[in-house]
Amino acid sequence: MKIDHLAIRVDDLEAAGKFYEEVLGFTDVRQGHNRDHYSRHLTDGRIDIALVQYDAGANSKESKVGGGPCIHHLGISVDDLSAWTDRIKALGCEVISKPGVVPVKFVAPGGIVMEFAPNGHFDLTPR
Amino acid sequence: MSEARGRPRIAHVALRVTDIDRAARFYEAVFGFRRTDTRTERGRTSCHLTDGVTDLAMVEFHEGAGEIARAAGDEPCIHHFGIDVEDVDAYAERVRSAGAEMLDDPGGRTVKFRVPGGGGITEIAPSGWHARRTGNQCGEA
Repeated sequence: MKIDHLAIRVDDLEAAGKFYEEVLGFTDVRQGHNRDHYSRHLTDGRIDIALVQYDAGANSKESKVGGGPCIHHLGISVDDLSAWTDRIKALGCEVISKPGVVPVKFVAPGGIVMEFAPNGHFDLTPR
Repeated sequence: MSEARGRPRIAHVALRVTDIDRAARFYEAVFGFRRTDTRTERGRTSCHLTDGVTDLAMVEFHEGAGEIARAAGDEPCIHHFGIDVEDVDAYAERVRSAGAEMLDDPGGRTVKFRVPGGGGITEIAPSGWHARRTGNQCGEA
């Protein structure tokens, strides 16, 4: 298993995206609005890095993580989302995503937010 | 700074935790990450694990760590992530010129900063610096 996703919570998507693209040479992959946030995905060729800006008034548990700009969560792709979710629940980790939402976000011991996504979710092919 | 061979790569993620060993055991037991190195220096203790590609550090800050210890707040969090680049000085200049807020973290070979638009702390390091999976003893959190 590998870390293949890093989500950065920003308050100015355009400025942050421009920086990672133009200064550090990350490649644009995709962007769009989903549930209560807009995300722009870039890659260094190996890891999906998502710049996330929550909507004003967003009220989901995920939107409260960090309370402001921060490194929001780490993502790992798994072959069996349900089995892995059951496993971390059995270990006492709180799932903070609403039921049915994919990827599945949870709080790892120590307070770090992570997520499981099905294999192939973090497709690095530009769209 | 060409795009191909010298392309910047995310090579490191540092978690600020309150119990290094407990956190490290979780990543070992659940995800199979391998512990590579634990060290105390510059006011912090860091335990490094790897997924085979990325260095994942559990970090506890101590007295004397300086402002970097509080730069991401006082609570457990993903403190920073690190990008390996071929020429740290050149990239640091690019980063500074692009309007990043440079952070003071003396004594290391890495450069930490905040990106315009917000989003936590980013770090650049010389290529190979975060390659803990080979038992590299010259890295840092």
